Amino acid sequence: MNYLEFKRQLMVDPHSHEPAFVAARNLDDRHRQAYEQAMRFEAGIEQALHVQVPHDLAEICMAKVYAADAQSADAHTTLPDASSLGNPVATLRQGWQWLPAMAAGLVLGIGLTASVFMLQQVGEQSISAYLASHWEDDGPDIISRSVLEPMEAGNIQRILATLNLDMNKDFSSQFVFAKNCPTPTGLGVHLVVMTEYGPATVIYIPSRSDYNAESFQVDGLQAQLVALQQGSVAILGNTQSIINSTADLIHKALQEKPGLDA
Amino acid sequence: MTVMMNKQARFEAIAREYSTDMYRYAVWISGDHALAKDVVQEAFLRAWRALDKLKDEKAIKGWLFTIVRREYLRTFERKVPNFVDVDDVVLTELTQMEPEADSEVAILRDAIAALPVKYREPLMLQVIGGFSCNEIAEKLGISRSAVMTQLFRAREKLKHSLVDDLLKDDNVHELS
Repeated sequence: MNYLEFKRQLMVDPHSHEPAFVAARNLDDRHRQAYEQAMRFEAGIEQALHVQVPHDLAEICMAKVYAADAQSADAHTTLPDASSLGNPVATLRQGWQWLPAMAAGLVLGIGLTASVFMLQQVGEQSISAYLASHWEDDGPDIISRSVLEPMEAGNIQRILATLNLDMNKDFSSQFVFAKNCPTPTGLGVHLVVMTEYGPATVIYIPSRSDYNAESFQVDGLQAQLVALQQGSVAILGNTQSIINSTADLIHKALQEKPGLDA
Repeated sequence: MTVMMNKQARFEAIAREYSTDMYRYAVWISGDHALAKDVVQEAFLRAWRALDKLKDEKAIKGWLFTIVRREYLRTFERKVPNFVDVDDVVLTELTQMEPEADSEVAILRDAIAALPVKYREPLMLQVIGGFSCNEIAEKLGISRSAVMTQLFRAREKLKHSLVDDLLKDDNVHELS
């Protein structure tokens, strides 16, 4: 490791245990000096990050946990499986377990007509499962980052254009994030929009405009499907006001250009 | 009963060992003491409920920090943003912390608070959490090389703030 690499490593990971870095620390006076200087700088950072921690924080947290636990036991509600609590999406999926059984029963009972119905049901199930899984991947992360560092309208427009979508400029300030994302019917767009009630996540799903205005829950959020002319959007928000406001915004601001056949 | 007592004992040991670092991390990513306290409490509630599934003791700290981060991100779903620059909030909140005699530390504190989130967060995970670049990359969902670049830039910005302050002092001396 030459001196420049060593200096760079001091700026990236000064406590690294990489053998080449450890060996370089005592290579000569220049390396030793640089290392000592970096350690002083790190000590300053560590000191600067000191914050006053509330007295008895651990005890307060424990008390809250045990109180919540006792409350849920009193309410005779079974504690959900630990893995699903760490992963709220699993809870959502469990809630849909009855659907395949119901669909299978219909197929056995009333033949071909019912099988069409079953396929429709499976389709409905997969859209909710898709949304839950998609949200779990990066939904919270995207929404927070887009609120903190909104994307420029031009960049959002460029992403929308990949699916032949257009954004009404009058509403561009309300669109704060866009990226392409996979959907059950192909490449879609993951958007974050700001409403007067708070942020909402919008997933544009191409080539499916036959969703009913179905609502369900995703990780404690409300989700609603809204059919457009050529595709649909799924809106995820914390309250019904956010959902309604977003649906209104999408109808006014998002235009599907003719000829899209995604 | 014994199983529950064992779980409690394990949980209490974890809470005592990690709550301080979790709180520090939460304060520095949220810039708000009250919010940080809520986030840590919620994180412990989730941790308690999922504790039986955690078998690898070495993974506890990383697991807890991931829960804290996730709980913090969830708060964005629950509130209407006030459109105040988060860095201003952080700066105000954090500069109200313990008065610092050492001016260099005070400058560093302001500079850390003013760092853009994308530089501040990896630095917090490294310094407070003690995580490696690979672990940080995994937590933030970005590449290792991006983490290394962000850590480099974070330190570079902090160093510049120290130098800038030094130059400012020199100018003041020259003028007087």
